Amino acid sequence: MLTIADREEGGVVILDLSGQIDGGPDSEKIQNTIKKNLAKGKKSYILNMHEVRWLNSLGAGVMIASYASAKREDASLKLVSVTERVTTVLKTCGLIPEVFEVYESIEDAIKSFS
Amino acid sequence: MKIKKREVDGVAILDLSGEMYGGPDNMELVDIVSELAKEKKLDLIINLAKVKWISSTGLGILVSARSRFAKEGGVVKLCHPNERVLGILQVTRLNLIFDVYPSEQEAIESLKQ
Repeated sequence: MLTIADREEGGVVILDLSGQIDGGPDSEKIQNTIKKNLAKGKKSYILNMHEVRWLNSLGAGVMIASYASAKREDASLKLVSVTERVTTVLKTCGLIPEVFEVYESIEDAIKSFS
Repeated sequence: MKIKKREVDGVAILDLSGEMYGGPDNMELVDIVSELAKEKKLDLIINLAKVKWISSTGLGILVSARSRFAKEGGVVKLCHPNERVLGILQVTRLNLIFDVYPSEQEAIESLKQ
């Protein structure tokens, strides 16, 4: 189960994720939310991973799909507050540090966009 | 999208053809990859020669396959993307996490080293 709440701060769209990213229909909401905001012309995205407990290989795929949707529209997507467990999975997948930029706090990530 | 599975010198090769949208066809790729990982066939080349286009979700599926293999200590390499697909891999920086070879032969040789 994954819940997603989206909000905006300083022109940056922040998705607060909570639960697990396992590639199921819930996970696809991440990409759908980003696509919806891309259509509005939003270029900066943060996935707040603080409450994400677990992620599998399909979930990693969903995150890349979201990332790729953003890149294709010349937008960027960054991660914030990734737990140790999820960091290990993302490193195994090769997604950190090669693909995703990771920040400790939302403030740091927002600053990085400007 | 169609997927054909074969083996060359102990290396599993998947020939993909068509367009990778990320629908049910593409989930078949996830299943095949899981099967290979279970059988401990841990050298895999995905031949993209006949792939015309990849959606973002399709890219996600390639990354899932790679992640599934990495968990078992396996390697997934890509070969022969057309210019358009290579461009997509570069824009999304996924060329940094996949080894991408111009030909299947070069990909096979890289696994023998």
